[in-house]
Amino acid sequence: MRSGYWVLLTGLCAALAMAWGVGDGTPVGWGDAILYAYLLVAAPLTFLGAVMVAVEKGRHWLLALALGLLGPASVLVLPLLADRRTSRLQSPFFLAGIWTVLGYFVLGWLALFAADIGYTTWPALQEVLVAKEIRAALWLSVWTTSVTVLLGLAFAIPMGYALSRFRFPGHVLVDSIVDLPIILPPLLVGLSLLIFFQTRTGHFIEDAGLKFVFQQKGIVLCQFLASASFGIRAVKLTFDGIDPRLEHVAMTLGSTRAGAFFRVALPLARRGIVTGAILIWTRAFGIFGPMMVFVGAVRMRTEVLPTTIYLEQSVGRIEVALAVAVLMLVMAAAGLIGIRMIGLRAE
Amino acid sequence: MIRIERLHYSVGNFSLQDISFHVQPGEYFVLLGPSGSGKTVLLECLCGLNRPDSGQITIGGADVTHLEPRNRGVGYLPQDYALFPDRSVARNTVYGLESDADFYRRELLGTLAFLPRLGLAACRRLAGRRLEEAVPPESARFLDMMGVRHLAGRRPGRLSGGEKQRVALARALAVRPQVLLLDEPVSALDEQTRDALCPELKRLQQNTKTTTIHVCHSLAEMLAVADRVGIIRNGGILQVGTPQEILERPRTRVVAEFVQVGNLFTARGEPGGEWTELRGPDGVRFLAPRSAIVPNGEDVSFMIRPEYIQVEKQPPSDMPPGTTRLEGTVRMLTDSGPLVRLTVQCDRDLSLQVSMGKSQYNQRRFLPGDRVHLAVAPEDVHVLDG
Repeated sequence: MRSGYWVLLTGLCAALAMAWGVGDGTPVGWGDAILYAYLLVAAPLTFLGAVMVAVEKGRHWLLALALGLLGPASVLVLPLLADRRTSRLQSPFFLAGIWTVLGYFVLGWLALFAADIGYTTWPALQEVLVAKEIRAALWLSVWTTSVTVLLGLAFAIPMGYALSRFRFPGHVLVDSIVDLPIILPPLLVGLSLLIFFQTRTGHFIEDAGLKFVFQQKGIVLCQFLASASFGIRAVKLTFDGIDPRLEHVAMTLGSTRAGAFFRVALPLARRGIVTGAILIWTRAFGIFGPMMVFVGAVRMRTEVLPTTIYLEQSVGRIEVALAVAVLMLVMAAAGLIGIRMIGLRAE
Repeated sequence: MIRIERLHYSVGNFSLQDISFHVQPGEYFVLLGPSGSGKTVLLECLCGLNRPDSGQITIGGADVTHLEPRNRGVGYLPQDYALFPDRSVARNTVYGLESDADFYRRELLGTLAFLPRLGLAACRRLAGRRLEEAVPPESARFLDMMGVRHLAGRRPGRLSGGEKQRVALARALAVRPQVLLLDEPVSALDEQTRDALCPELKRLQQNTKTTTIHVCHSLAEMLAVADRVGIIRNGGILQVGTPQEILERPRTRVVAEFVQVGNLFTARGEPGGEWTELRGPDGVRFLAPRSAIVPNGEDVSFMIRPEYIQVEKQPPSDMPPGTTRLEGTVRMLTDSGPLVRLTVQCDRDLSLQVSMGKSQYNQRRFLPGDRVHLAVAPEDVHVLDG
């Protein structure tokens, strides 16, 4: 078998070991014993497989070695990194299982990023940083997603609270409607909006001075509709976990209904709200499908960064597209860290 | 102090029906009932967390039936204490001392000062220390009162059950409530802590003279604290009285069963000349005072408290008239420390519970198998209403 499959198999076994090893960590049944034995066999085989491939093909031997070492390393080395004080409570196999899965995921993505960065050329990156179309797209992305996050939270917090605290006729229906945009392709949001603004109601809104079609406001609308559900869901789950009795007590201690919400429930929900904000922002930052349909991809006007990537790669300028991708990567990292810092400042 | 008149409230399949009782100022009132009897729901009605369907609640002379919880002057201690997990003990205690408006103002300023504060926090972390959270002076008094001052900086997650309860009490008392509502305040604690905290609750209540309603399902807990008690079951109040009244003169069979009266029988009553005669289906015959109202020819329940049955090895002489005399064999002996309980099997299918103090027992030394003579005075035979 190819060494690549060995690597995957080791990871799978590690995951199974994790599922099994939740107990006190000592093998208790034949299932455990077989699994652990296999893990111990599979790990060296992975290594061997990788070396064989390297010898056979005569290239990439370093990469093969690294990948091959991942399995054994996760089983043998990573448990040692665990917290000394609690390590007695956790079996090495259990830890190996967790860390292997984590390791494959993170390393996989790092490899993808590395490939992107490796492909990008310095001139392309320079071009991206100075081109005024791309700077416009960057700025547009920043302000539209910021507005979307604020707007999304303005809906997510009250809606999440209502869905969590109250049971009303049609609760199931509202809950399902909230989930629908998560399932449906984002492109459909743009299409639906375009159709909607052809209707009488749509025309009425546009005549009233709120123009969305082919406008920058339309970008916010698209992002909001495609992403708010994630925030609502996250915030609702958080409020589900907060005992309503805390607010009841607050009300006997002199708070109004709203006061109990703002002073007790909201601070406790902070983590969930930050998660909601991150989910909204990541979705809003990454999509371009609905905008292509609803506001078009007009340079300098309705072009956001994901649109830029699409436009650049469709005309064959892959290295520019990837340079924009690198830019987005940096922004995404900064954005995620920023939201966490602002949201969790007191902790 | 608290008057509840004809209160009705229904939620789902459960309903409180026609609840009426009064609590005197400064009284320690216990609502006693099995789980699912509606104790908590009733307490939440008093807090204002449930809106009654009909009826009236007055606290200190003011009709509070439709008031918000914050305007009722109640201190509420829910079953699991519901301490705010993100606040330290001290900040839990001062919650009620800060108004919502103060909070909004402070948060707004805090948000404006976000960046300077972030800088300050970074400096502090660089300096390698976290500032000790100061105990707000207004909360110190109540923390001292409950003896938990030393916990001021801790989060509720790191407190024991007993400590949580004290902190929750300090928080509730800080707003100086007219009425303290305690929902199973010691049920979650282990037995030793419970035994220690019950008298403490009572002492606290006497010191602060706060009218208190305490909900519980344990007879021992009720006896430890109650001035008066209301028995609640299936959403209705069955009887209100002092603990002694409830124990010795339960009104109905349900109450008698709930307060664990040992000897509970069914008999047919026959009002006679001097005494009321109670004749059971198994031929038992007891004499009760004439004042006991017995519908002629109908079955009634009656009870005799185990501690009021006189037991001797020799047939007792010079008994007052009307005394019911029985003879039986000791079947079982339970020594619970201060009290000894005998199960005496009388002739004719009848078994009686008899209890006596340890010193009394030591003088006589009954053993299983002994023949004994029992005597029951008519005034100790209590006929139940239903």
